[in-house]
Amino acid sequence: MLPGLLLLASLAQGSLPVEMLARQARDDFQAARYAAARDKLREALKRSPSNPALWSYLGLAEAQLNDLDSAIADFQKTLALAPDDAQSFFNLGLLYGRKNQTAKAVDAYQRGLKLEPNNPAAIQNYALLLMTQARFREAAASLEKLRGLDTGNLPVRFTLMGCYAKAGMKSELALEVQAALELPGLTSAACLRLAKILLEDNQRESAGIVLEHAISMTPDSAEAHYDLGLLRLGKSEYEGATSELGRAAQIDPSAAPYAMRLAESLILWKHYGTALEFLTAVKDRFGSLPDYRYKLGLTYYSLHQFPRAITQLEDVATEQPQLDTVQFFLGNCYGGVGDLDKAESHYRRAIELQPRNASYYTALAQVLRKMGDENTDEAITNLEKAISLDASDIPSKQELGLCFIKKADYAKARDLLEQVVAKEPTLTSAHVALAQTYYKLRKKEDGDREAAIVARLQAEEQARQAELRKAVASP
Amino acid sequence: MRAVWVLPVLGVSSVLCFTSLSERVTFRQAMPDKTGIRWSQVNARSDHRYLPETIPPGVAIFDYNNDGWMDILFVNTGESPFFHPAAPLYPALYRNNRNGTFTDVSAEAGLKVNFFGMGVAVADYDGDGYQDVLLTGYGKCILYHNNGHGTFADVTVQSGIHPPGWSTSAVWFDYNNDGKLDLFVAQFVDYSSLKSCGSANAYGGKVEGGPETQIYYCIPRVFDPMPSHLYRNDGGGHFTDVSKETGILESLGKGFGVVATDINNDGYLDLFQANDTVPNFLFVNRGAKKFEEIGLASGVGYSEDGLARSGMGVDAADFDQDGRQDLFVANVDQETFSIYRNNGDETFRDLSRSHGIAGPTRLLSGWGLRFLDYDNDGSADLILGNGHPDDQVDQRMKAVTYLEPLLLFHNDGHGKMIHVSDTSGDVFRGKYAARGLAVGDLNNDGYPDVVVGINGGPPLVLYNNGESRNHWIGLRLVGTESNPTATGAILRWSAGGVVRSRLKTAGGSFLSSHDPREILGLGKSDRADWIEIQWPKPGGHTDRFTDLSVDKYVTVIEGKGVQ
Repeated sequence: MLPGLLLLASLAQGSLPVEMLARQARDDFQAARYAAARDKLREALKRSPSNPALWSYLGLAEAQLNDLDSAIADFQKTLALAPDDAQSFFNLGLLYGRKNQTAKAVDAYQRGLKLEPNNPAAIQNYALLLMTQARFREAAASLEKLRGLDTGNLPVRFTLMGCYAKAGMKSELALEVQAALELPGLTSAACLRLAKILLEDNQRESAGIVLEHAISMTPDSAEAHYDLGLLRLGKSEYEGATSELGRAAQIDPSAAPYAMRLAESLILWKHYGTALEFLTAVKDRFGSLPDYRYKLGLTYYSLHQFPRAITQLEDVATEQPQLDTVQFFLGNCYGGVGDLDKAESHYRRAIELQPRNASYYTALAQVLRKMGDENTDEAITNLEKAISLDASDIPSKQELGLCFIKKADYAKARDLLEQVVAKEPTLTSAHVALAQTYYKLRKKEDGDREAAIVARLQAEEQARQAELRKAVASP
Repeated sequence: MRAVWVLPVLGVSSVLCFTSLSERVTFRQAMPDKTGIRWSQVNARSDHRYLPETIPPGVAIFDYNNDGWMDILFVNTGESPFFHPAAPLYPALYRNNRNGTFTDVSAEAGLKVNFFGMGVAVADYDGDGYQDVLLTGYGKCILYHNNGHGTFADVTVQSGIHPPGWSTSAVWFDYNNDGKLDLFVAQFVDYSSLKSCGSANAYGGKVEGGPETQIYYCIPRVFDPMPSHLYRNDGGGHFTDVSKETGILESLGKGFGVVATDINNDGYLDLFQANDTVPNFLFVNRGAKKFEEIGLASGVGYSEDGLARSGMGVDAADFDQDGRQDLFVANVDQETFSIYRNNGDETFRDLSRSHGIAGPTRLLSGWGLRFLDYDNDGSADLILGNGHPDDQVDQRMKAVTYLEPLLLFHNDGHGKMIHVSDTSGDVFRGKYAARGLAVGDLNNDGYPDVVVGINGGPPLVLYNNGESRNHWIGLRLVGTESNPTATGAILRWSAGGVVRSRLKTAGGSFLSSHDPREILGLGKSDRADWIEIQWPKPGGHTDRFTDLSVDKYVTVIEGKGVQ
């Protein structure tokens, strides 16, 4: 280390007091007595002001004392005396980086790396600096160099993959993932870490490859199956997700997350009967968990067994009154059994808890419209709110159109329904409403045109049914 | 015999003291050991769940022997491509013995047809004074001419009435106002495939994770629609299929209930046909030349959400007494039933939510139904028979069951329907697989009774207890220049200064046929101020009466007055 060599050199020059001070300062520094070290070094520098090693050491001490400006000055002084001291450049890079003086930091690193291009710590720090500035391509270049110095350094390779991902360097990423997977000594745990990193960067495909590799290495890794299951769930690949989550739950049947996500996957896959069977089978183990009751409630809801769904979801709502989704599904359930008053109440609660979910306003509006004409104005208010949250929401616009029909404001109804059919040209119900609106506006030609569209859509649906009938034999 | 109070002229409070009897009218079920009706419908349910199994039976109340007492006919299943009963199955005709009992006269009546029957429509199509019978069913219809002495003859072949495929409800009405009753026969779906369904296409909805080999009744959506048929009565027992020239053939539907009524008061009877899983039809009679189908434009084709529903039973009446014919249609569970108020411009508005219908019907599937003034207060009430078409629905949808209750609604006098099932008799606490429903006065007490056909079981015979003690006048109308049943006649009557009106419709309900007489409710008035009968075209003239006796039936013959 430069300060050590310079110290020996100074000793060789016979400056005993300086030597002793320097040695003591070193001892203080190594003992983390940075203030003491600084004082001794300052004293030594009074006697030997042109000693770059002393200046460098002083810079380190002051950096440790968080006196960044002084530390910077010290390293600048060092470089004035020893312009080829790469370490000082690297330290300046670090210091400028901490002060967010990025340009200076980059310049310092680059100068240092010209002198000492293969300094691993410097390369890594430089890469990290570039990453903080979102300069991922440049960071990747540095990390590639680092990788070249130590191909087995997994953290470096993982960081490199993160840069590739963020820089959109897909082919490089894929190659790097493949190369990493071929490293001897790569563990399943490392694979799982890597997968998580990739998922953070939304690299689902690469993450999937890594997880599959982890599973091939350790087929009984519940965590690997679980992570892969979650990945597939996120991609709406429900069959694959169920398979993986099922395996995880099989390996570790006591793990609630595995079981609950498996249930979730079955529900999303619309295998409600199987979901019900599974949840029934694990009731003794997980029945007391709110998430269990929530999943069971959703399953019953999906099977249209609304009274049973209500029982479960009401329990969850009592224990976790802040869950807006539970309130929403309770609203749907009560709507399913015809209790519109309760449906309304739960939708209102869902809105209170999550006022930015457009579908809640739409659901409330639908119930209000069903409850009677006197609620139409409020239904309209809620639908307008839904549309303000999501201007592209077609169901809200259609529902609003129906409300305006009820209010006999056919012009507004027409405008909305025309938007709906423009976006959803095969939505028969919207064409029906639009046809009726045109007739009310005495636009017979337009009404007849919409009626013809309705007839055509119905004929197409009938033809589709005929094809299905031919394709599917009687059981 | 009930004691009759003789009231002196008293103040209001005293009168109130004496009117302590309940106004609430209830129905009682007459059991087979009392009625002698031991018939039970064979629904032919099989493991294959052929769809026709779950649809019938229809039922008719009519006076087959002209003795002034209403008899009952029940339609049965029978031989078909998918059902081969070990012994022949026939419709059952029960003669009213006038004492609360009935006798099975099926054998001597000669209604011996072994086919998979659906429904029945009764009328005197040839004007000989005797009620004839049309049976609808799978593969054919059968027309029976009443010979006049308690027997019937099958005259199908020479009649020209040969609708293909699966016929359901039928209605006799005079579409061209020539004084002869024509016939409209609703067709259901093309079921030639005899398809059974897994849960994906089940009436009761899909079930996930259920056994793959389980078979359910198919939802009609999976079958092709078919046109209904209109037959013009040429006289002499012959009919001509005029479906094409009148435009009926252009509309492909899945017809269940149908009612003939006049929605625009132009003197020509129109048709409202309920369709299952496709839009309902409103065929507006344009001067007997064409029927224009305006279901979509009128607002009765689809639900308020723009969806085609599973329309089944229908009826028509002026329930709000605004002088315009309103409509009613029953659907399956989750769809609610609809009561449509006539706006007067060939459009309708669904008032089911505001008028008390939506809530009680939300989870039910409705078949036979009727607007009837069951308490004789002058307002049209409503009775409905319900039951889910999927016998396995209980397994999947806990809020919806195969067996369902009857519903009774009381009209509050302003068009609002008050659900009164809970207080209208024990029979409303039961649950049934109800299908056809006919209304008629079985004991001639002036209070309409009800007969309900039950799929796979014995029928319900419900007698009206008449507790309201309201007065009434019963009219048996006989057209001479107009059609024999005076279908299309407009009745107006005043009692206690309150004027009411009613159009004599035809058909309605589901697969069934009603007592052709009209009972006019007078409320508490013990006399009718006047009664007017505006005979339908081609007659078209109006008779007015001011001195008809109350609480009895009278026969009024067009051009001849009261008999």
